[in-house]
Amino acid sequence: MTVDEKKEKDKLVLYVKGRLDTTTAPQLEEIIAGKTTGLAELVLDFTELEYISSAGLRVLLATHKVMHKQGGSLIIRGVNDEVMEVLHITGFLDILNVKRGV
Amino acid sequence: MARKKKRTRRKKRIGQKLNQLLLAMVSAAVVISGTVSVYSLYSMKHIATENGTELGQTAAEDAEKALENLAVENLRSIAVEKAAYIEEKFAAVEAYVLGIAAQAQAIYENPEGFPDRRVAPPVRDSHLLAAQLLWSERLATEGREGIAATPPLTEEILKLGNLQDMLVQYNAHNDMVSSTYVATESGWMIQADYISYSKYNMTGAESDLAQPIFYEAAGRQWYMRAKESESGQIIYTDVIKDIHEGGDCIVCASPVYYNGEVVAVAGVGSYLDTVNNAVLNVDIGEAGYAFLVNEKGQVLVSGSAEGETAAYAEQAVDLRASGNRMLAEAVTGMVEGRSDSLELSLDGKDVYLAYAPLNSLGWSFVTVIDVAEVVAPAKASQQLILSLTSDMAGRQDTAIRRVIVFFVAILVVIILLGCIFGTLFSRKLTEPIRTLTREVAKLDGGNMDYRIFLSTGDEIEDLGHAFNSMAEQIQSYVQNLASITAEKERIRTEIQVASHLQADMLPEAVGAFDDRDEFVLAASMTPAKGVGGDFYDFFLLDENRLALVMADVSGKGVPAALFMVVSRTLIRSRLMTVGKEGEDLAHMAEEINRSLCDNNKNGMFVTAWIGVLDIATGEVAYVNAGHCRPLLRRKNGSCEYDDMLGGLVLAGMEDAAYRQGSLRLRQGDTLLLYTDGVTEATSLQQQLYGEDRLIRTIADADSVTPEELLQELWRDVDAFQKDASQFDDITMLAVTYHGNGFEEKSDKPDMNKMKDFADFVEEVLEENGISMKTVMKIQMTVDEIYSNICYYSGAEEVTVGIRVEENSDQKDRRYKESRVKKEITLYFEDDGMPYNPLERPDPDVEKLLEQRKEGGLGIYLVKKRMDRVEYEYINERNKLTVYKTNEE
Repeated sequence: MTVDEKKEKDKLVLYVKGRLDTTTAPQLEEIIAGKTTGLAELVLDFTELEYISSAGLRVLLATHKVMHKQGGSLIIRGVNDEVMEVLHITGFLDILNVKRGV
Repeated sequence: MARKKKRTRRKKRIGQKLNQLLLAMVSAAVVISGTVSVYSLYSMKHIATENGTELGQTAAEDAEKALENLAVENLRSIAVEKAAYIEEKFAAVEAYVLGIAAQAQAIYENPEGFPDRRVAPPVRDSHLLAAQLLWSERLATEGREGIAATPPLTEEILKLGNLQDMLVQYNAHNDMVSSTYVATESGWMIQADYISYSKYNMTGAESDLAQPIFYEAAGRQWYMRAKESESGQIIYTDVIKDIHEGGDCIVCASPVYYNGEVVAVAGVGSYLDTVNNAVLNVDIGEAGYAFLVNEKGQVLVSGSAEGETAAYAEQAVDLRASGNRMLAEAVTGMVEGRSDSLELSLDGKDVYLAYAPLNSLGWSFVTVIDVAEVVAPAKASQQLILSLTSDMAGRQDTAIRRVIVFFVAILVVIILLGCIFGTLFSRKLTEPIRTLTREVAKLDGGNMDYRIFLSTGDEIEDLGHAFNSMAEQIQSYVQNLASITAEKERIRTEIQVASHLQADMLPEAVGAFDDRDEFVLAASMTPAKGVGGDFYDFFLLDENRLALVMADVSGKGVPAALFMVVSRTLIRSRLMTVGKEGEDLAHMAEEINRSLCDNNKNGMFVTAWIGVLDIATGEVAYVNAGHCRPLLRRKNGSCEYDDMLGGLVLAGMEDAAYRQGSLRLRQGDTLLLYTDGVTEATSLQQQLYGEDRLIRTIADADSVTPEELLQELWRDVDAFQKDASQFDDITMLAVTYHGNGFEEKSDKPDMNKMKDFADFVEEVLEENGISMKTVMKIQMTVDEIYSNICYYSGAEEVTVGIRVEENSDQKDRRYKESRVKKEITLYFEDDGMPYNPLERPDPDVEKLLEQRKEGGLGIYLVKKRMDRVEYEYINERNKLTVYKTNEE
């Protein structure tokens, strides 16, 4: 998994590529942890994400909580069918702001 | 037939050998004596030729030398003789001169003693010898220039007139003398000669002819030279031209003294014709000639018309200065008045030259002859001798050829005679041998009943007897051999039958388990002798268990084969009961051992490896009764021997105890069973094949199937044995375990190794052409389950197994053709705490928002996304199995 970031004023876009699984999820969590302070909008671009595991879902959930608490928002975009299915099954679609396109 | 021909040829050779020996000896003798003779003749010829040549050479040289000496001597004597001849002529002349001078002196000293006598002046046109009075112009009294009237005669001339008779006489008596005269200081002259007419100037006027021309003697060379000399001395002039006639002449003169002064000179003129003739007429061989050299080294007269020694009159040269050094030296000798002979080169030719002096004149007479001419006869005789010698050599050659022809003829005759007599002789000599050969030939072709009868009375007869006894012996041997062979043939046939029976007893591996995918099996036995003691066996105890046996009976041949049958039957029947009663293999082995020990009086035994493969798990339970260690070849190619010792050989000891061992075959592993025929295969160098080479060969083998593996092993063993004979049965069995089709991977549970498991699974899926979409779902499953085991199970080992099966779904009528579905089965096994994740309630997402630690999300995802998930706890292991059909 690799993460590229793009900052636009108080909006941060993280391009997550590869697999977000048990071993890589902590890395993403760490990257996000240092950047959420005062951030109005965090966008996770999943265009090149191959799949996501439960550990990855936990990171999304945690990030959502943090952003929600500070009045900001978490937007997940570019989600493919595979990831979308996972999000759907787990009910995360109801909670998170998810967009299929970019 | 071919053999008979060969023998006939050999027989002939004995006669031929004798023949050839005889011929060779005689021929050699003839050839040697012939060679010696011819050689001697050639030597003689050589010596004779050499002598002839030498003789010719020596004779020629001697003759040459003799001729040379003779020629030189001849030359010299001619020179001396001719010189003497010429001198003699001049000696007479000198005597005349001295006589005239003496008479004149006498007249001067005593004029009174002599009467007055008048001398007449020369007569015109007279050719007669006469004394004539001539006078100098000084005495002329009158007259015109050049013409004088007779001057008045003085007493002096009147008295001297007495000399006129003497003068005439001297002239008349010597043909060399051309004129004799006396001239006075006062100008008178009396001259006696034949040429009175010449004293007149015939070209002048008629009046002039009255008087003779003046003659001034005082100016003449002879007069002047004589006047200078002593009384009684003789002088010669140079060769001069006669004043009147113009011929070559020389004047000899002497002074007349009166009262101490020269008053007159007496002279004699000599023509040189005589001298010339003496030179020119000299006869020396064909090309020889003579020449005359004067005191100045000039050639006066020469027999040679041209060349270095020709006379050149006015252009005469001093030869002492000649470029021809030897000629110059010779001429110097001549001028010095010496006499000599020598060989030198003249005009490019070798010549002999001899010379002798004419002392009175200071001249030399020289004779010359060509060397070639001198030695010509010697050369001719040498040629003659040489040609004679060559003739002789030719005749000798002819003689030698005749001798050679003679010897060759003798040789031919001898060879012919030798052939005829030799053949007759050898035929006689070898007759008995040929008879014997004919007799022996009758034994040929197996007719050993025939007996030879010979009565030659020599060794050949003994040989015949020897043949007879040999034939008898052979006959008896042949009979023995026939019966033994028949016996052996019978036994061989029986053994062959036994061998077939034994081979039939061993199960055929090919096609035996075609309906089983879980394992592939191959086996082979190569007996060393007709029947062997090795055997293998395999059969299914039930659907899930395969019995495997590899055994080796001690000893070989029929007894071993019989014991093998007993052992095999016993083992097979006892194994059958194992299936029913779940009996321990060790116990079974003990029972078999006891059974075999009963009635085993021959002390035979059998080594055996008996095992049972659990087809589902790959577990092999076995007992090794003193047999070779089985070899395990793992899927990755690594090999190892199984070292478990199970106990003593079967039928060795009645109370022997056995232990059961077990090993685990994983998917792709191969178990190789064999007898010591493999490891103890022996090469020509007496080296054993050995376990090391076996494990190397198996590890390096490229083979995929057990059958190929056994073939490859057999090829290597066979190559090792090469031509060495196989002395033990070689028996091999290989079983490759494919199990239930699962690919497995085991390791310690460790998050760091999760990627290895993920890769392993992905590789299997990709190999089976599973879609990426499905791969992602399976990967997610591995991620969730494996991480759970790592984090929570406390297990020591985790095994992940995966299998892809293709099932055609024919039930689905919606499709015209049966569709092939790829069904994936994935399981996770761990030896951790028993835990069934499926019992866990599904997670509530709302709760997740509140509680961070809410678990079960992973297993929930797996349950949702896989077709089916099962859990069981077996063999103290958690086993979670997941099913998923490939999504296209």
